[in-house]
Formats: sequence, C-alpha cells, structure tokens
Amino acid sequence: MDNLLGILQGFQTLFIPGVFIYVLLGFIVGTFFGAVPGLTATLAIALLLPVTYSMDIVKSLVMCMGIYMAGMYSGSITAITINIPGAPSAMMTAIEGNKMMERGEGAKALGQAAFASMIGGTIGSILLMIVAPFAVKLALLIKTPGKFSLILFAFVVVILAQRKSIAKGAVATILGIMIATIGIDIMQPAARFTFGIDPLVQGIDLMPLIIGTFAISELLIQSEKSSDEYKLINKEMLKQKISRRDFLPTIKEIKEIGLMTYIKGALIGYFIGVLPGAGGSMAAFISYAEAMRSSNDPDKFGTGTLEGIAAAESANNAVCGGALVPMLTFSIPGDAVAAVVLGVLIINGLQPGPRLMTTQFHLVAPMFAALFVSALIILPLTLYILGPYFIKIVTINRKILYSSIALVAMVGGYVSTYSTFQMLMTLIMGVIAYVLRKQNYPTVSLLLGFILGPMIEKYFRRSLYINDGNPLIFFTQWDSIVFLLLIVVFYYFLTKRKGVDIKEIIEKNRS
Amino acid sequence: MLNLKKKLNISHLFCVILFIWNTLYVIEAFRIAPPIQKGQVSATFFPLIISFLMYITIALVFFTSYNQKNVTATSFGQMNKPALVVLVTIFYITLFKIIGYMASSILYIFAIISIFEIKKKNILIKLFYAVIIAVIIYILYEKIFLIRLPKLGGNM
Repeated sequence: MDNLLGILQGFQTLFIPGVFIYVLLGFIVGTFFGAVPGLTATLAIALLLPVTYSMDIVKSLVMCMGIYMAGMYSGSITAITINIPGAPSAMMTAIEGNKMMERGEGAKALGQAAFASMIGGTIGSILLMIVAPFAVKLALLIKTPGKFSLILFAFVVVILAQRKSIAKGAVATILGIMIATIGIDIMQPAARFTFGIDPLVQGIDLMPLIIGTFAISELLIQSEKSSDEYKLINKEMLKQKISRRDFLPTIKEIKEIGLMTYIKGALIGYFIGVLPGAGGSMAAFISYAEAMRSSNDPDKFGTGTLEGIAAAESANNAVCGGALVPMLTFSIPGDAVAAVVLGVLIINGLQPGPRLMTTQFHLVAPMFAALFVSALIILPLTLYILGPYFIKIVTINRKILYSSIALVAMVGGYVSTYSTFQMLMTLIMGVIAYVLRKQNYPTVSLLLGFILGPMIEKYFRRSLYINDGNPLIFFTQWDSIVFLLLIVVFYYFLTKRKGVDIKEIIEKNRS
Repeated sequence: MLNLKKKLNISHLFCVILFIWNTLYVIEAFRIAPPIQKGQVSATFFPLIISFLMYITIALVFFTSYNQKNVTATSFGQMNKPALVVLVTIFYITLFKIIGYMASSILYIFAIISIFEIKKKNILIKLFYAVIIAVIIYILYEKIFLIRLPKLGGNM
C-alpha cells in the first residue's frame, strides 16, 4: 500500500510542469540520439552526466527515463527507412521494416514499431512498479556471501551474453574490474595500483570512464568514416516521404498480429532486461525468434511483416523496465543505459539498494512514472507530431555533430573533479574503449566490470573475514548456494542449447 | 615460419599488450603486499585472482583467433584520423587551463571539424561553426547549469 501511494506521489511530482518538461526534453534528445546511426541513448545520458551535478536529482532521473524509452524506440526510424539500425536493438526491425519501406509501406512500419514499443514499454514499466518492491524484500534477505555470489552470477551472465565471443567478454569485464582497483583500497585506507603516478591515488572517476567509453570512442570510430558515406545516407533519407495519417495501425492489422505477440514480446523483453548485460538487442532477437517459431506462417518472416516488427519492438522497449529492477535493488544494471543511470545516481551521492527504495522512494517513484508516461503517452504523440520530420532530424551535419560531442565530452570529463587530469583520463578511457571496439570486445562489459568490481571484491573479502579466510562460506549459506546454482543453470542454457538460426530462415524466405 | 606470420594479426598484438599490462599489474600487486597477511586476505588477494583469470582469458582469445580461418577483428589501417583526434585532444587538455575554455575550445572544435572534413576551403565557415558551438556549450554550462569553466590565464 505504501508503495502504491509512493508511486501515485511519483506521478504527482512528474506532472509538475517544471519536472515534466525534463521528460519531454529527454524524450526529444533520446529520439535524436537513438535515430542517428552511431549515436545511442547511452551516449546521450553519458554526455548529460556532468550537468546532472547541478540539476535536481528527480529532474535528472526523469530526463534519463525519457532518453531511455525514446532511444530504444527511435533506433527503428533509420532501421526502417534506410536499413541502418539507429541503435543495435533495432537490428531485427530493419529486417522487416526496410522490406516494407521498399514496398511503399514505410509509414505503416514506423507506426507499428511505435505501437509495439508503446505496449512493450508500458508493460515493462508496470512490471517494474510491481516487481521492484518485492525485489527489495528479496535483497534484504541476502547476506554478504550471497551478495558475492549474486554479483558473480551477474558477471557470468554479462560474459555469457556475448555469445559470439565469450572469452572477449571475459577479458573486457576483467579489465573493467582491474581499472576499478586503481586508487584507495575499498577496505583499508591505502593506495594501490597507482604505478607511482600520484594523481592515480584518487582513482579513476566513473564519469571519465563512462564519457570516454561511450563518447570519445564513438568520436574516434566516426572520424575514420568518410564524409561521402554520410552524404549518401543523407541523400537517401531526404528522398523518403512519409505521411502522418499512415502512422496509425488499424484494428485489422493488430488482430492479424495478435495481442499475444505484443504481450509475449513485452514479457520476454522484461525478463531479458532483468539479466545483466543482455539488453535490447538480445531481447529483440529472442522475441523475434519466438514470434517466428510460434507463427502460423513463419515463411513470411524476412519478407517485410508487421508481426516481426511487433515482436522485436515490444521486447526491446520492455527491457527498460526490466533493466531498472536489479539496478535499483541490487546496484546491478541490466544494460548499458541502466549502468549509466546508475552512474547518475552514484555521482549524485545516492547508492541504489534496499535503502534507496525504502527511505528515498520519493526520488525513485517519479522515475517509474516517467518511464510509464514516456511509453504510453509521449512515444505515440511524438511519432504523430514529429514523425514526418524524423527523417530530416537525422540528416544533421556530422562535422557539427561530432565536434559538439567532442567538446561536451571533454568538458564533461573536466567537470567531474574540475581537473585536467580527469580530462586526460576521459581521453585514455576513450582510446582504450576504441581499441576494444575495433577488436570486437564488448565495452559494456568493461563498464559493468568497473561498476560491479569494487562490490564483488568488498563482499568477497568481507565473507572471508567473517569465516576466518575459509571460502566454504560461499557453499554453506543458502542465498549464496541459490545464486551459484543459477550460474550452472544459465551456463547450460546460454552455452549448451542451440538457438534458432534466424539468418538461415530469413535468407530462405527471401530467396 | 611464414605460415605462423600469416596467422598472426592485430588481434594477437592486442593480446600481447593485454598480457604485458596484466604482468605489470601482477608485479605491482606483489610490490604492494603479499596476498595473505597474518592469516587474512590482503588488498592484493582479489586483484591477483582476477589477474590469474585474465591470463587464462587472454590465452583463450589468442588461441581462438589463431585457429580461426577468417579473423573478424578489424585492422588498424584507418587509424590516421583517430590518431589526429587524440593528438588534438591532448593539445586541448594542455591549453584548457592556460588559455581558458573559450579560446581553447574554439581552436579544438575548429581542429575536429577540419579532421572530419579535410577541405582547405571554407575556413571561415569552420571558424564560424567553432565559435557558435563553443558559445552555446558555454551558455549551457556556465549560465544554465552554473558550472564554472576556466577563463583566460587559468582563473575560474
């Protein structure tokens, strides 16, 4: 009952004009960043991180939610119109949406993507409001050894989620943990791993790491690309003509797709969102595969079907609600955006966990409300009002765009401690992330390693102190055993079981 | 020998760099403290465990890419522009506190725009963009979010 009241108060706070404007602002920023290939919602929040210092935390968080929901949806705009997913989560939407675009049904595909995103996002945020309080109760039952095993479980899932290269996922995660060990030891007031460099005693701040990983690395990647390539994309984009009235999906189309496709997609997305490191692309992929498996006519997949768009888009937007549950209750982010939002909380002096969810629920509740309102109201409204102009938004001059990103990123690095040393750290982290990306190492694993590293070390060392250095404590406490068993179960499902070969089926259908 | 050279690529070089980093990390850990002191784990116990795991995963990546017929990792062939961006950014960081936010940022944006579009023409337009962007970001940080940025001579 208390939670229900808290959430209602959250809605009340959200609808204060001075707060609501930030959700709208976040939604517009998120739409832009999600739609432009190469830019992501994670990058948008990373760049806004420094300004959250001087902003009210509630406004910062509701703005992040607007960016999150919009960024997850708007990747479908370029995916459908020019077959280049604006965000990785729109990969499956591109397969179906662009085929429809070629048939002159682009607006219908965009409308369906928005409708499915609305349903997925709404279900995801409702589940977040329902599940989060229970997750808090569960979090309170977990003792120190259990917390260690929980984070170990999170790491295993983060690594196994990189199905194409588990070893590279592990390297990036461990590198993140190593970087986090630089500075003052978490349990004793002594510096470590400074390699004789005095400024490293203060450690590496979260902000330079986030900005470097997502903004500077992207800047370096983009600098490699030729301007002619973008001019060609812009030319293609400007050719597209989209009419506002075609956006609205008809009842007949919704019936043909089936409400269950949307609901199933949303549930898949939500539960994948809860898993650390999995994120929107995996959710869209699994939901699409499930829609194809359970469809009466699987042969139409890959040829431009609304059902495929509905499955993928409802799943990736439901991820938003799922990814926030472990982030808010256990400090374990479900995906890259949740990890950066965790950064917003930490930088503003808030530590996610049961205490935040109980004593400071008034700060979190507007965030829930913002996610819900973004999905249910702002998302379809934005499409209807701005839809025909979406194409023009993403054709912005790239030299202006990336020089602005470079400046905001570097100044952001400075703002973290008002020192040029952290600016240098931002650049170094950016170069590391760039090299990792060039070699196909997942940078989100690096970030999760950095965030969760100090926590796993703290719980590991505390557990050993409690039990006089005997590691058997991890195998005798029930909560720890549960998570260790979960590691075995997930290892089996994520590595031993063969998935559906979507690529093969689509190629077959297209030919 | 020739066959071995063919199979080695940039991905392996990166593994070697990681290996060196990991070894330096281990040496630093032993320099700080032994992993176990007075029967309890010390500040270097956990880092040594992760560095041990790092050795295993580096070896896995190395041998996996060695056995792969088609290596998917991208090469560093197009690194000229990223290297220029890094160089320009180092200069920017150096000048940031000395000549202040505005002058250093205008120069930085001008340099980045020039890297993204190498055309000798339009220098004035590039400069115009640089001034506009620097001013907008200044207003955003200093006036709206009240974040102080360095002025000329390093004063805040």
